[in-house]
Amino acid sequence: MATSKSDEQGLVVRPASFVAGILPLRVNGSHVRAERDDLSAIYDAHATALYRYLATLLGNAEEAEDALQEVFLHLARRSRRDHIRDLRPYLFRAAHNQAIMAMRRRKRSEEMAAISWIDLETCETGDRELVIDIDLAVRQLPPAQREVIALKLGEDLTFREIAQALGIPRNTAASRYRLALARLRVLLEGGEPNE
Amino acid sequence: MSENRRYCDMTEEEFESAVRGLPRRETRPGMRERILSYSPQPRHVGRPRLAFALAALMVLLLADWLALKSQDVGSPFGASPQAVVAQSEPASKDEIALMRDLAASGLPLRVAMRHPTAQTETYFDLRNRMLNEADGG
Repeated sequence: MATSKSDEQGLVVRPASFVAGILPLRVNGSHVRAERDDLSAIYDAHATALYRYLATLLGNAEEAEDALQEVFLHLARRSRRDHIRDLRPYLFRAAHNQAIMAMRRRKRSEEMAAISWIDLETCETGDRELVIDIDLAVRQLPPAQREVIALKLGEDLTFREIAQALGIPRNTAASRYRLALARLRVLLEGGEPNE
Repeated sequence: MSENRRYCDMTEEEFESAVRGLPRRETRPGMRERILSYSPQPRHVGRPRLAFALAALMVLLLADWLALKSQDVGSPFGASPQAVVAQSEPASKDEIALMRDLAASGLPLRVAMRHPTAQTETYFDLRNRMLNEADGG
C-alpha cells in the first residue's frame, strides 16, 4: 500500500487507486451495480452533501462542481469486481482526494474560503447576522479543521465515517473536531484566527 | 461584538445544535444533468465473461474425459507403444517364468503386474496360467 503524505495545508492525501476501474456498489445496505440508473440514485442520495463538503473545503463553487463531477466520473469507471461496503465514507473520501488535487492545481494558496456549506441566501432575516457570523468563522478555519466541521456539523457524519473519509484514525478525527470547534467559538467571540 | 458574547454561555452541545440548524447550501440547477451526462456508460462485461467461463469448462471436461480414456489400455488414445507391442505379442514362456519367479519370491503380484509382459494379461489370467503350468510341470 502506498504511503500517505501531508499536503502543505495540513491535509493528508491518500492513494486514489480506488478510483480506477467500475462496479457493484452498496446503496441502502444492498449491493447494486453502478449502472447509469444506479449512478443517478447515488447522485440523488449523496451529491448535495458531497457538493457542500467540497464547497466548504475548496471555498469555491465552480471548483466544487468540477471536483464533484470527477468523483462521479471515477465512480462510473469502477471495476465490476469491486465492492464498496460503506458508500458514504467512500464517496467523501473520493471527494476529499479530488479536493486535494484541485488545491494543488491552484497557482496560489487562497487565504480564506469564499463559501462554506452554509447557505446565506435562504436564511431568515432575523437570523441572518448569526448565520453570517458562523459562516465567516467557518471560512476562516484552516482547511483540515474546516472539513472536519463540515463533515460533522454540516453532514452529520459519525467520527468513524469521518475517519474513513479522511483516512485518519478515529481518535484523530475526534480531537481535530474538538480543536476546530474550540477555534470556531474563539472566532465567534471576536478572537484572532491564529490565537 | 457584544451580541457574539452569547456563544460563551452556550454549552458545546447547544453550540453544535445551533450550527447544525443553519440553512444548508444546495446544488445548482442543471448540475445533475450535466454531471450524469458526462459520466461514461459502464462496461458490460458480464456476458462475454460467462461465455468464456463456459467454454473453458467444456475444454476442461473434454481434457478430463481424454485423460480417463487414456487409462484404458485397450484404447487407441492411451496405450503406450510398449503396451501396444505387448498387446500384439503373447507372453513367451521365459516371460511367464519370470513372472512366476517374481511371484514366488514374495513380490506382490500387483507389483509384478507392472512388468511390461503383464500389460496385456489380467491378474486372473496370469494367475491361472501360472497355476496351470505349475500343475503341468
